[in-house]
Amino acid sequence: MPRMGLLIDYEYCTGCHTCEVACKQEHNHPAGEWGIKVNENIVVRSQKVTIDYIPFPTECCDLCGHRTSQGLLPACVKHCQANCMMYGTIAELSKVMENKPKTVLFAPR
Amino acid sequence: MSEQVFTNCTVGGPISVYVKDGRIVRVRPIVIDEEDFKPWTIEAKGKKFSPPRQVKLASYVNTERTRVYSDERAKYPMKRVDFDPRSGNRNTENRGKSAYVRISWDEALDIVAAEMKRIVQDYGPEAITGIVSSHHNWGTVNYKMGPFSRFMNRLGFTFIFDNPDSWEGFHWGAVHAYGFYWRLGCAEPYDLLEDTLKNAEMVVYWSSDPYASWGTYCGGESQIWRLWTREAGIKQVFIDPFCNHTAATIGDRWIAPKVGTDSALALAIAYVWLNDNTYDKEYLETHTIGFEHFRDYVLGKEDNKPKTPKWAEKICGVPARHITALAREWASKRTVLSCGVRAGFGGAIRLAYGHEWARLAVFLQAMQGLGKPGVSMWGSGMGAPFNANFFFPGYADTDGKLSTTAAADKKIHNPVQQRLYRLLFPEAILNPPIEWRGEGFCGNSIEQQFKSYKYPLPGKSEVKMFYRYGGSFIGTMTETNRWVMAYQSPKLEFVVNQDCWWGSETRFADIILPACTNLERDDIAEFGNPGGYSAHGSSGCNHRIIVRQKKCIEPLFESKSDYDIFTLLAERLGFKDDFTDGGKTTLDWVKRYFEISDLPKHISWEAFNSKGYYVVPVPDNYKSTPSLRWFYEGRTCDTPDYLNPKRNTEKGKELGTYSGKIEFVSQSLTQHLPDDKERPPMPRYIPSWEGPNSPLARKYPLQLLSPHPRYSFHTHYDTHSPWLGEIPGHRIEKDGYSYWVARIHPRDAEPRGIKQGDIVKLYNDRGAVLCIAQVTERCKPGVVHSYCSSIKYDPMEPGKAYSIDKGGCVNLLTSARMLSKNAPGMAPNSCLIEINKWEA
Ligand code: SF4
Ligand code: SF4
Repeated sequence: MPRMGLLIDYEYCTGCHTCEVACKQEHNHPAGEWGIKVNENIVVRSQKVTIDYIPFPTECCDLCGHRTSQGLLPACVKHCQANCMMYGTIAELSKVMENKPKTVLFAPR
Repeated sequence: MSEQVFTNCTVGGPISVYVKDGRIVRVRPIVIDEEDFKPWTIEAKGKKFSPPRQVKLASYVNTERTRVYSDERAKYPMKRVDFDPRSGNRNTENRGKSAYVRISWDEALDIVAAEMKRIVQDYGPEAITGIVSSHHNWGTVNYKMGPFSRFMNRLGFTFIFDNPDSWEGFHWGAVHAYGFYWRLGCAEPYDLLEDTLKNAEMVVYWSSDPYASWGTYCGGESQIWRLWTREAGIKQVFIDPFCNHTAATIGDRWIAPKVGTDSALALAIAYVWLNDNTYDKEYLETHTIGFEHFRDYVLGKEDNKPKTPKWAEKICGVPARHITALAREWASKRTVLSCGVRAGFGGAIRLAYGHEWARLAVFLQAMQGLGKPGVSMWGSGMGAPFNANFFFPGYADTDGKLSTTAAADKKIHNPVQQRLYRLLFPEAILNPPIEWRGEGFCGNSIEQQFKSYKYPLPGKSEVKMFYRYGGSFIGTMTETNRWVMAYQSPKLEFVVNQDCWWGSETRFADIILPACTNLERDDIAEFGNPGGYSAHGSSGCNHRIIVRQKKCIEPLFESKSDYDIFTLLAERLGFKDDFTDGGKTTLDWVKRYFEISDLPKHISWEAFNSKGYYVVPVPDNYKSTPSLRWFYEGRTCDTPDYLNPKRNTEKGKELGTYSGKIEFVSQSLTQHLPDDKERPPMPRYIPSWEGPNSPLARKYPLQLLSPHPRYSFHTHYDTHSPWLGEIPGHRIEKDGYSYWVARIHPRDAEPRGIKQGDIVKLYNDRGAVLCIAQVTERCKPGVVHSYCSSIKYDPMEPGKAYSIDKGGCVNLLTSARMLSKNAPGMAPNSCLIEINKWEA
């Protein structure tokens, strides 16, 4: 089996936290536990404020094995408001990365 | 028992609800067969844009299950311990403080019915009043304009006018510039998604954050549209004192004026265009009136003050060269102006003289030929290709309201003439008589804005009983310690609160009636369609979806549906038959609504009921009719804006203003209030009565900006959905308490010794609220950003007005003063505060 991963196109992530809540709802995580967490990075450079939102899978992310084994997308990918998350093999995803300005690839187990 | 799946709908989108052994185990976006979606395609700039075959919920709807099972549900009928109407011991001063005892439904309903009878008998029906909150539930039969209104109309009551709280300035201002009073001041939205993608080169989002306001009722459906505008190469500029979420994601530029100085900025942009000769003179001649007066004012011929970028820089703090650059780019590119998600819902109109900027926004677009391809007023949250020929009523349509719908055999109107105004409710109780001008939602004519009202009416009783349905106002209205005091007045002999959850006002009731949520009863409704003055609101969704809202579980605890509660009360008052329209059950009503809509032409009741939804397709030969293109081209109105009274008449080419044109000098204001200096016939920059340059700023130097929240809807969800407490933009837990967030610039935080994560006190003479500090460059220095609409009002001394609130109701701090003398809209963003570190 090839390694699977999540590609996040954070050029377009809106920081809406839907992936976070969708993951929680899918896995019934108790308070204080999340499969994925949205981070906000602010950089202030010569009068310009740049903000990036980057969702970051945690220890609790199992890549939605129970969903993907049935051919469904991981919950966070399905719910993403901006269609900026992708699920696939690391090989596939890294190809997508080549043409995108701002992406990160996660490969949790 | 195996898992069952039910369809339902919420304020943030339609859902599938999975139930096992009578318990909800999962809530997902509604599952719809792929082939039922008929996605449209927009071709623009060599690309094709088509929406996914999916529903995008607002994020908070994913918490719906925890919200239904929330600990904060109103579970049982309750009576305040020291309320005893039989002995006359009402102890109204203890409202907000006293504890409650559980009582039976029979006892609760008997008390409510007996009090209603007594009050009507002693004082007349005028003595009864009541009002609903917005959007805690969804559904045509059982929600906002449903059972409450039918019941109260039959009983007769002093109706309370709502104020258009989310778009005040457009309502009280823009109407006098370009009409659209039938949309309460917001322009028609038709086909502007396509027009923007095809023709626009720039979008200016001015006081507009669609990623926070979720297309209002349309969930996350339009989120992807803004990414398309990026892909189409359209530049995105944001004007906002806070670097908002949309700006953070797609913005190319962020311009941050001081709060309440937007009018000065707008005038300087007009100045640059006049000076550069980069405006559409021909259009101004044929499509507008009064431009020469405006030109003279901008150039300073009237007051010797040319409204130059330098002049504006001193007021709004934006460097003159930035203003000039923005103006030049705006004139050289076909530019869309977005002033809030439904075209007029931003924060810059919820402040002192907000109507002036709203009118200037219309004028700027008029100077560039409003209606020209790519030159529009588009909130970016509505205006997808839309099948407007298919009829299904929204809850606020005449045919949606339970009192007046064609689905009813007997229509019921309120016989009582006396009126109240929501923003003045506390004064009406504490300090009558009161007077005001304007009917609240003035959607039937411009003249409604000028109508004078008095309370109480001569010879009629003041109100003695308050029936509160929902309970959010302490978190949503202005200077809300006034509400605390009004609630404790002995004049209010009896207060009922009916809600699904405990809200900020629940604890002021004498009797609490627990209602169930819309997952615990039957209904029918369309995704994103409130109807009324927001006609064709579901054009903010990618697909029109009408949902058979199914009862997924039995009402929890002892809650009952609103329809059942009012039926039981109507029975005790002897008008059950009228209320139920001859014995209709909820399901009978649902079927009747199905029948009066266009659904039966396309699907049988049985198929609709078993499938749970119907997706209204956009026809193959769809012809787009972009907003105001007809006006630009001098044709008669060809959009489906059916509330436009001139459409299909000999005046079909005209706008809704008196002259039918865009009015730089308003004829309606000239005719009705020519001498009003605060809303003169021609708009001006008028310094705020509470702003960065007012004397009060010496004592309270920070400007509180409190827009609509991003991670909850109005006051809904919030602490009723504990999961949201883990989103750091919403609430943050510290020492076991979930605090509301206040954002402050490092430059303001540092001298006050405030660090990230500190508990801080926001205060002024109107109150004090504790929040948790986020220190961030996203605020302009001098601005404190904290969302309005906390559901939790948690005063340190319960029942004491002006006690420090830990819950986060920053509305306690806002001023009750209205937009201006004759424009009775709320102005919460004109609010000065000080902030310091809180050490308990
Ligand atoms: S892949 Fe599944 S488990 Fe992992 S973050 Fe996404 S939703 Fe959560
Ligand atoms: S759902 Fe998508 S857009 Fe929203 S925070 Fe998650 S990754 Fe970003």
